[in-house]
Amino acid sequence: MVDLLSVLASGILVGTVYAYMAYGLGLIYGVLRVVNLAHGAFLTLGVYVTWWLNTTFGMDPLVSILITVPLGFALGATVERTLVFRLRDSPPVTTLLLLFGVWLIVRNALYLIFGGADRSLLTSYSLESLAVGPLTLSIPRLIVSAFSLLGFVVLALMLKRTWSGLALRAVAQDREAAALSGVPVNRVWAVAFGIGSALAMSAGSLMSLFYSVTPEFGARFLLKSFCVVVLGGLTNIGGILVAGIGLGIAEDLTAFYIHTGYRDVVSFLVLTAALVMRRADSD
Amino acid sequence: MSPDSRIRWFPVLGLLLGVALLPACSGGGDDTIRIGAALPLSGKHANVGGFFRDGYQLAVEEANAAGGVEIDGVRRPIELRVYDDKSDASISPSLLERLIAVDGAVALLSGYSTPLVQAQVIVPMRRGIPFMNAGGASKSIFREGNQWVFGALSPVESLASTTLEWLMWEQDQDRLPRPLRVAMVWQNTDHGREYRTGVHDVIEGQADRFELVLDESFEHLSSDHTSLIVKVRSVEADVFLSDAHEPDFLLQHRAYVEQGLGHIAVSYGARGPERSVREGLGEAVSHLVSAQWWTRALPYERSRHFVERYEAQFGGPVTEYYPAVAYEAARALIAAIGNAGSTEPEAIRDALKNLELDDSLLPGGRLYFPEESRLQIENRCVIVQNQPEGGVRIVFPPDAAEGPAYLGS
Repeated sequence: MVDLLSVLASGILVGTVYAYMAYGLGLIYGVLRVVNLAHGAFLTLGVYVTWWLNTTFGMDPLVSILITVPLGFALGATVERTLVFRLRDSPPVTTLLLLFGVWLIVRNALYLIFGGADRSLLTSYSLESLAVGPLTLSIPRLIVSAFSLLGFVVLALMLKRTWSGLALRAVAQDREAAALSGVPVNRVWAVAFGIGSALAMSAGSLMSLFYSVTPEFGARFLLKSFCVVVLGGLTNIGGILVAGIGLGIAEDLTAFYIHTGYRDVVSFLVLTAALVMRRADSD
Repeated sequence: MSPDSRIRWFPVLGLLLGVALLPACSGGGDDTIRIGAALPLSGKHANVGGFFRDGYQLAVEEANAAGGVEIDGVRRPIELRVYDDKSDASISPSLLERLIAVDGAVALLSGYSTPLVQAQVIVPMRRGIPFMNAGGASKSIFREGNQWVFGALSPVESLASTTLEWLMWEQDQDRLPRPLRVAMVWQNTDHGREYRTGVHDVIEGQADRFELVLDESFEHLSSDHTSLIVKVRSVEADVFLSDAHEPDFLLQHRAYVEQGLGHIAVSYGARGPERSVREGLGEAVSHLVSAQWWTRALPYERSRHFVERYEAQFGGPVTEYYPAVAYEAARALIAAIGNAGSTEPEAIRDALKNLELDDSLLPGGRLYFPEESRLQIENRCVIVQNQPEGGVRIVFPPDAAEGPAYLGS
């Protein structure tokens, strides 16, 4: 029983990390209808900026979010204004390739600057855990889970309660109708890309608490983010949170009760099933 | 063909002729003997690639300082030519082709990492050029009938078998129980599968000594290891063995510590002494036991000489095995060229087959390339244990041990 509870708790903690990684991807797809292959680049930039701030200035990763969030927003909005915007009426594959190119440039730049070695962060709480009854929960993972839930609440409130959120939802539903109603669509696109990128970079910042920092970091998690977004329903932030947690639990139960080697198979089986079911629904 | 089109072809023909003559110009035009390597000097293995370049370079400099290599009664200097393959297995073979065809390299040294070396060995096997491998331990590199690829790195199985030999030795000292309950997890790669084979090869037929209570694989770059660690906890083993590359090792041992596990001995294959590991996990890596292809504390004259020279030239304490094995591989290749007294590939190959360095810095103190293991050295590794204050201590084999291992309860 303790083992089952441990595995469930671990699944929930991992799942909230998946959700955090995926919020930005879902938001950008919802508003711009763009599959952001540069998402991995922003995740990777998040871990590198955090690692660099920590090793250079001793800055705690939790504090570094104060830098990575605005930096992510600025970088994302710039990418949208200077690159994505210019291709807004092109076929989707063009934007897809463009953003893939952005990712490759960032990845190779990181290789040039920092090399390919695995790097890690060590803080005073990196290896701490919290005993809750018979369970032992990792403090860094609890922190990231808390931020993931906080991110969900802030994003949901922003979308529902603010004018910017209303504009984002309006553009997501019907770009032309929103434009006719006076919504500055171009600016909304930049804001959406900026928020999505800021979320990705902050997720990267927090994930540096337990994952190695390498230029391949984004590649490691991009596919998982896609799985969560597709499963949760492309534009549904609440769905993404539930999908992330569900996927985390499914993976951990599979790893524990069937075989650890099948852990990643679960993600891709779920992704395939979700895509097939969506296709069947649309038919 | 019109006169005009013939004229247009002249520059192309000239260029082809030039390229065809290049090997003769660069390889045979002077008395330098060239050896070459395609190393990952950028990309994901850049840090290790640098260690290899330094190790190779040191061996070449030493050989040249001793007057070079005698060929047909004339002493000739060795030149090392290195290209950066950017950690990309798709371009590495073409760089080796260039080293042979354009630079006139008479023998090659390997790059680093099993996938890159697996891609490289196709070239020397096809071209019939001696290739000294110091960067890939997998047996899959050494194919049936291999005549050209020589391995200075013992197989991955040695990591596992030496670890189990150490455990048996501790049992013989009455410091460990019999049978010892072993939980083993391994990365689902060639490296991990060979580690598993090494464990099974020793454990089979040793039921009085070992009981394997968990034998499970995990995927490379897994997003979480907590459920696997919970599984390890549930089998209540005495010893935990894992074979993982660094990113998985860091995540797995983090989960191990977070879940509060403790075993009499914990080993992650070759992982543990790296500086980056202590930077990432701090004191949590104290007392980890690892099997190494080399460690600076080995009490051999050659090893001490290498450490002294390397640190004088490149600075910092040498904590990784990479430059040492690279140095030894290059030293063996240069010795074989000297023994062959020729730069003919077949002569160098035959000299390598007969080579036996009795002053090797590798564990066991001997470097040779036995035919029965397809020209890959099969030395035992050395077992070290991380010390709480930093650094490592050799705990096995007994003739090199610096003291007893700390064993958990």
